[in-house]
Amino acid sequence: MNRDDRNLIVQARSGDQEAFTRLVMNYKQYVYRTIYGMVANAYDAQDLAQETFIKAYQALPTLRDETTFPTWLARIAIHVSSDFLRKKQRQKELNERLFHYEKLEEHRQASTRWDLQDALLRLSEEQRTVLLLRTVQELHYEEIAQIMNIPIGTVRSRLYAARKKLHELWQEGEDER
Amino acid sequence: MTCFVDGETLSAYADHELEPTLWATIHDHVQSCTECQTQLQAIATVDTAIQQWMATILLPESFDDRLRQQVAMVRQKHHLRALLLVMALMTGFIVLSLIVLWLSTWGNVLQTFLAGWMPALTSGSWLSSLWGYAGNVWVIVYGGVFALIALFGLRWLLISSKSEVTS
Repeated sequence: MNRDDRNLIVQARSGDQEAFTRLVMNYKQYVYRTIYGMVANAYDAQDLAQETFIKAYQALPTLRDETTFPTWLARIAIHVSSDFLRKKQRQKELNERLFHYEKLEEHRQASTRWDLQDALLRLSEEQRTVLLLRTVQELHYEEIAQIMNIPIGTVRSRLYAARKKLHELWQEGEDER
Repeated sequence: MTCFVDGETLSAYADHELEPTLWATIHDHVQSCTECQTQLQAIATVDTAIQQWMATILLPESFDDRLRQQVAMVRQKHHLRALLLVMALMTGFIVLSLIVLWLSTWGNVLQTFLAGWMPALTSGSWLSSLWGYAGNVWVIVYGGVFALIALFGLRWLLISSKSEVTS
């Protein structure tokens, strides 16, 4: 996090809407990609990204340490996504969609993007979250542990399990092709 | 060579999330362990695939405008809430002041004033009640004083709001 971002946070916290807009520009792709990886739907991800930033805007005055902004924002994004998945029983719907994709697997052209998205959906929500926070947001284990409120050891084991499972699924896909 | 590194540790090694001494030990071991090299390759494959895929996922241009509108709406709501709070507080203050005034010695003035009007509201005989009201000298005196205070108050409000605008 650079000094410009820190200044923007201070300005946005005191009600400067333009500063907040610039802050959004710097973080929107990270937030969107993380949420997209969680919910696997572009429209839902856009709505949730918007909700994340609105919540961040409203709660910004409560942020005491500007340096924690990226993890603080990631925590909001993860909570918003998790709430969405829980409330709408999205997980069930995703699994059904995944089943549908599996059925269509042999009929459609192989695509890396969809294979990976399907594979991500086969991970548990916790494994997916840890993996996305690490690979997309490039956060440290300690930061992920803080965001998810779990011990660092759990971050390590979940990350390893997620990578292992994803690689196995990846290889299965390769073998089929 | 026997491999002593478990998958979790190797995953943490790949992320540089180990203590420096342990990281260095594993780093030395990895140079000659094909099993670890294969596992590290697998980790790198997965991570790179996700990163490459994610790099293609971009928010549409319309997102910024939508968000800006939403933020503006949130700000407006916030201001409206603040305004309503101020109005509620002011109303409460006025009501409280009236109650205090009613219960104080000055309340007699109000009671006398209203007593003059009450028959007019109930009987409908405006002329007779107005006559009774006008006959009460005290009510006229107090009414005049209140009117003067109200006029001065209004003038003060106008002056203060004007100076606020110019400043």
